[in-house]
Amino acid sequence: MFKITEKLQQIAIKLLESGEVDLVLGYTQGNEPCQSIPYIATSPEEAKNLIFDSFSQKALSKYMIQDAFKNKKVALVVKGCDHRGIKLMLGENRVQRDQIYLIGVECSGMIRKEQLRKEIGQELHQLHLEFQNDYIEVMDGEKKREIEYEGVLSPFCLSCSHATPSEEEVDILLTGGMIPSILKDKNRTHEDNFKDINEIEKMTEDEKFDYWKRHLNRCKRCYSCRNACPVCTCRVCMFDRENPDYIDAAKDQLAQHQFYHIIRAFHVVDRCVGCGECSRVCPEGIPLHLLNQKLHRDLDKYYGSYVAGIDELPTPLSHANANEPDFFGKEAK
Amino acid sequence: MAPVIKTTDFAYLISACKMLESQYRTFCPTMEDGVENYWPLDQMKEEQMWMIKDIAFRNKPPLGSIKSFVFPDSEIYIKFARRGNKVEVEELETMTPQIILGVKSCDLKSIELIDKVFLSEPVDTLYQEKREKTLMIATICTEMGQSCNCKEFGICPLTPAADILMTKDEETGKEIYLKSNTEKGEKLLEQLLTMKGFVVSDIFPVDEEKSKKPVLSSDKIKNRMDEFFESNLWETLGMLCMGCGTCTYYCPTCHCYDIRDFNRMDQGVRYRTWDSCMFSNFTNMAGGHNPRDTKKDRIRNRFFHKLKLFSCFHTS
Repeated sequence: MFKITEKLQQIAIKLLESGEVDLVLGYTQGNEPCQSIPYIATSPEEAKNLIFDSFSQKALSKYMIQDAFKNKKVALVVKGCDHRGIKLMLGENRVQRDQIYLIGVECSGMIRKEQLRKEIGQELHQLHLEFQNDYIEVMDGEKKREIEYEGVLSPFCLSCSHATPSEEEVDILLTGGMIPSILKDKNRTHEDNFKDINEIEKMTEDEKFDYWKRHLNRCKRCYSCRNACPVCTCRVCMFDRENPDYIDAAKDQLAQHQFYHIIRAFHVVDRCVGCGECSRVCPEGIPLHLLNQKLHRDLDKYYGSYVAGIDELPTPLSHANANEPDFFGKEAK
Repeated sequence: MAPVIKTTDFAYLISACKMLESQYRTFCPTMEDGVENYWPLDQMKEEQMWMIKDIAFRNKPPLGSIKSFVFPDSEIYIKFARRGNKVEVEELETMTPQIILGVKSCDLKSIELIDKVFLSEPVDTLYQEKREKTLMIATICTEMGQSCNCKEFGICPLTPAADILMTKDEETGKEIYLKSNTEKGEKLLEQLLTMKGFVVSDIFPVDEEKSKKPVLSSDKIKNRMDEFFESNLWETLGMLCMGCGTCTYYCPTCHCYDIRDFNRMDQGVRYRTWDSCMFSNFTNMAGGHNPRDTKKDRIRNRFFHKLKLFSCFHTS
């Protein structure tokens, strides 16, 4: 059991027993191995099911803007990225701080289950995983193997410099997790971790178009990327509006998929907290994070560095300064 | 007795399907960008073809359900255009027959269920055409997969309701046996016999157990659903649900659709496209009323439709 799990259960039991909160929103073990799923504990008994580990990926902050959580005092388990999401919501008056009890957790990076399965080369059932400082020890009965973190950690976590919420901004911070040494190495740059986007930038225009055509043609517009995104917080999404109807509902129209994904990327990029949920939840495996990565890179280049949820609001694209680059003006000349 | 043929190598079957391209378009499960799905054989790269056998014979269906071959995600009813002051309606192209290779017993059960919706009066002719022109080749699962529930629901993995049943020799893993199950299937087997690598077989090496009695009967479930209508379960699920359409789009028995028009200038189409009862605007009414306003209502409705209402409406 992860050390944090123990502390988390203790604090959750205390909060629920004292009636300080109505519910604790965290994670519990899913039906499959290496799967942690969102969980609502409403009693001290249920609090014993809470866990926190390297598979607690889901961005729980998103739930805070849902109607069902309004008018309830909620204790929320937040990793660094989730906490940044909450701070954006607070800044935009989408949630009230006094309704949320923030349980900050020291994040040990999220492991991509699919990637882990690929590296191990077999299904994860019946395997025992032991998380060490430099590697994951995989035990299949007597057989032991070591898996490097670099290949299986989410690229977002590898380059994350705000993995753990700051102690002053949460109600309680739980530490003592086993942090892989690769995450302690702060010398890794953005460029080191996002090799995929470097590859795409090297492509010709036609190759890039073909790449995105291939991926976006699989989109079914189930909107899971939007619904899982902790910074997609509009009260009514433009793609749900029926009058005017901005998007055609046909699922076989590449142009509509492009329209949806590009508009969404532009809408969220300056507020993206890099949790990686968009790519993770996509059933078709569309690498949506690459759109954000590219735009993020461009934002850094043209508007200066800005870290959503850490730096002061407003975000770079929600206001305009006279000295900012004018791309459209240039084009006109 | 139903004819059985065999071949010594799965590759013969693939090349035979390629030879039949002018008559059938073949779809097989393979991997594209890390995602397993059915993919047209004529668009596959060499290495993708090598993956077909493993995925098709595995006891786990690929990501997408086969419903999209008979009920595509988007489908045009009519095309229309304005010429002067007249409206011209264009005939739709008829589809090429298709072979879906590597489907499972559970997939076919789901098609049986959707048939009840689209093929009962008034018959949905778009669906009917696709159903008639689709030939399913099912692989036999000899072992249940990690998250399989076929036994509970009384679906026999050894006797799929396909046009052709396919199995491989358990010992060598090389010989592939094909057994026809319908007239359509028999015709295809006859064609295959004239092609390289196929011979008649005396046996079909599947020990067809009598299909077991389902552990869960739909009648029992139907009758007990009412007990759960006021359960707290829906409240909790509604809170945790993200409200996207993934579960419905990948569910092999979800079949709701929306009808829309798309027009530009003087021409347009009327089409239907998958819709999801998990979306908030699914039941939006004129005037702004929404009878299923919360996620709790929508989730409850989805399970009630599947487990109770469906079998009330479609008894036969």
